Amino acid sequence: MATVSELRVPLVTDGKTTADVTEDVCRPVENRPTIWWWIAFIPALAGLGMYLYAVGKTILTGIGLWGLNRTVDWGFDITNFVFWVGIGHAGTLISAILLIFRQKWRTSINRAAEAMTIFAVICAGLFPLIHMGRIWVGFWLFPYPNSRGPLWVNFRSPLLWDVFAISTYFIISLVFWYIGLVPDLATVRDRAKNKIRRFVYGVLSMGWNGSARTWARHEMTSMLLAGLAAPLVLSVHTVVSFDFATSVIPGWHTTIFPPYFVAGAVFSGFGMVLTLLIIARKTMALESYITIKHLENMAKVLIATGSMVGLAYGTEFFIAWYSGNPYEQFAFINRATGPYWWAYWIMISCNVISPQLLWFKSLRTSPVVLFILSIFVNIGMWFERFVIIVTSLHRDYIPSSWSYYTATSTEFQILIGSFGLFFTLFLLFIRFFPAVAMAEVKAVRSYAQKHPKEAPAKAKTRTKVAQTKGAAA
Amino acid sequence: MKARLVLGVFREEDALVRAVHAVRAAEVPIHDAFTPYPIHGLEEAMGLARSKLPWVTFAGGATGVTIALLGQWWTHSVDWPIEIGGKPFAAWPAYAPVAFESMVLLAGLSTAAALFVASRLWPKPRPRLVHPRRHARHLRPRARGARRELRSAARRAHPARRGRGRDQAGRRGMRRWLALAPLLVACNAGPDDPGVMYMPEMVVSTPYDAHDRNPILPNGMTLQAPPEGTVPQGFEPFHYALEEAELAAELANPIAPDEAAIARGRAQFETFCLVCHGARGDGDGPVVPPFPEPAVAPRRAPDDDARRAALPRDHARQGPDAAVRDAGPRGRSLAHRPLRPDAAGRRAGLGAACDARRGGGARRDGARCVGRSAGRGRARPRPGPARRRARAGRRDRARRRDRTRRRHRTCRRARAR
Repeated sequence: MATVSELRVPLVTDGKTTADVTEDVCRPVENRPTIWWWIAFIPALAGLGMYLYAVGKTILTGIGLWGLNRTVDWGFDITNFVFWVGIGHAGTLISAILLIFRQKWRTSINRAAEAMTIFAVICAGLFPLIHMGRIWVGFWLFPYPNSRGPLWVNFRSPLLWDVFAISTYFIISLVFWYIGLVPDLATVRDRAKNKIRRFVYGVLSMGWNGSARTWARHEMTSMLLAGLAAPLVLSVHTVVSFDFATSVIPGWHTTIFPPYFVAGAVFSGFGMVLTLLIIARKTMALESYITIKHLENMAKVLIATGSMVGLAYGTEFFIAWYSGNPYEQFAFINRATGPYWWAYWIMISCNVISPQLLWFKSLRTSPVVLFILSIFVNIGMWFERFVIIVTSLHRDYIPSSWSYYTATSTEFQILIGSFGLFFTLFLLFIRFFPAVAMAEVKAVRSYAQKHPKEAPAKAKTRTKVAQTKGAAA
Repeated sequence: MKARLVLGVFREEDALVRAVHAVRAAEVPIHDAFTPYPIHGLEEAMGLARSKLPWVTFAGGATGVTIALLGQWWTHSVDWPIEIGGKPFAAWPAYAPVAFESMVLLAGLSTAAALFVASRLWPKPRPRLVHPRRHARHLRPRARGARRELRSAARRAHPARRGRGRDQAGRRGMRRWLALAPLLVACNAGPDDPGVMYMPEMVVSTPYDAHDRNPILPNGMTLQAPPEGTVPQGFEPFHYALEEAELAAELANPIAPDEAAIARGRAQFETFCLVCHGARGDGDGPVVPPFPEPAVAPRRAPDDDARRAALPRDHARQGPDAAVRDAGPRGRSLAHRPLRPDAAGRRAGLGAACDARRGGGARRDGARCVGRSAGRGRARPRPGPARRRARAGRRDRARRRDRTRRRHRTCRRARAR
């Protein structure tokens, strides 16, 4: 290891060479899974089984199995939907928005974060389908010439905008992820030892040959897709918030919802990215790639978005008072002190108070503290959606129809089971696909560390300038 | 043509870029460079033109917006103008989210497709010019013509791959896609053949909507007016409960008790009532021993005296006119209760009782199984043609059939005793 920049911490530590990157990233893909992988995978698979059981029971019996009633007609189902969509947002933020801003530290986490996005959107997208009761006619959501009239969907309804936003988000995320994956799959293909692997990874990598022209187009495509995905990710949670904001329920009918939801989504997503990556770097020995620096950067995003969410909570109360609307005031006072006060205060303590601990550098550079805090953030953001949905509904305009919603065991099974689905997909992903974007990491690896003499005269980053100077000296 | 090639292998990216500059300065054309990761500055060094992919993105996005906006406008303003919440049909601001999502979707998919097409990437197990270690560590620019030479080198190294030239591989890829084509063609059924149908519950049997025009029915309407005299649901014949004296004042019998009326009433009574109630109204008609309880007998007092006491004869003779209307089917004790119109059979009994006292009058529909012919034959007059068609719903028919069967069963049992 030659020189270390005084200005910037290297993105990849321990002086890894390109060959080291390939070896380290391909190791989990090419070897038998470790005991830690099995320890994580078996409970995840059990959770998936529970999910399939509970969802199957719901589909066969009907949503009467849930605790919904006339007053509270959205409960765990829509809470889980909004929660999982929000989780997905961090992946797109890391891969698209940080790419546009040329934040090079994103390279070692973007692959896993994008995969997380796709799996979270899968989890999310299933909930509206399940909660509609007749999942087998779910395709009626899409406008297509049909023999029912043709009966068109209502394009003026935010619920339909949701259909478009979520499905577009899923497809574009999948394409973006796959295009980034192709060069790395080609590396796995070239290293493959047996015929089946060579065939499967060969087909998946589309005959990638690393030509300079292809790389130029690939870079251009990544940039274009990032440019499309960045507004897309903002639009998705904006549209989700329209489901609520365009209604006339006090507590939902708020213009603050789009930015508030997007900030919350990024907050919860980064919480989940931290949870996943802290596990992944430990169990897959990726500490040199997913460094403390990465964790710290994500912790800073958590403080920023957590504070934005806290500001939004305060703004809601302020506007309720300032508007002079008694229904609005009641909705918010009831939210904090009514029958669901416990949910509200779990939300406040997890989302607003706990991230403030990250102002301390010693805390935000400690993986253990970050892991615990990220779990708190996940819990808090789930409760935020629960609070918004259920407390706004359970006491509506007519006091005679006020009620209390308690989830049934089926709903709890579906909620816990959806985590099983998510983790099963994620663990299969880190088992069969390179979890770190090798090509991108190689491109930002501090080359001059190992070969100071061949360092470029025209350095692109300050890091390299510093290293060159160090080498010259 | 035999091409000369110069093949260079470089360990580091800067050496590669420097070499490319040097080769270009010497005006030797460079065929391609293969690298394991994108090297910034290499495209410029090789003099590659800027990619035209952004134009594809633009075209895709513009198509998406146009299709989405026109499609939404067309469905809501032309094909299916339905008013929702007083909003205009052409609600352009509400069309924005879907238009935006469609733009992103088509722009993204067309960009990705263009990348694969332009770079000639498609699902194939082996890349062209594979070298097992290229993607791991080595960087190499290649002069034009190097490809063939490399390929023959690769053939020597891997005899199994012999004879798989690029053109052949290309044709194989083409054939693979062509093999998929029949699957897509199979989706294209004719106008009279829907092909594969999923859940055609709303396709195969399309009922007319209640307010639709209906070409089958004579007046062209699906929802038919109910026949005249239909008793509306929830109708109460007596919307009040009065004492007998008050009833007498309010509901006086308009038919004068002359000889002719009494004769008509007698005829009605002998036709419909006598079989149970007996010639003198004692409840000893011909069917009474096998028929469990005459309709007039109160169920809580089965003994003869009580039964006789409950018969409407004395009541009918002595009481007010109105009392008779209720006395028939349920016994006198219930007379002041309003009668529900749901039990057709009871209404029939009421009608008969009334008519008998009035000495005639219109017959009413209902269960006359007992009264007419001791349980033989259909108890229902044939309805008019319009009404018959209006009643053609399968569920109604089944319900009527069940009712008739039940009634006949009762009568059969009665006969059997």
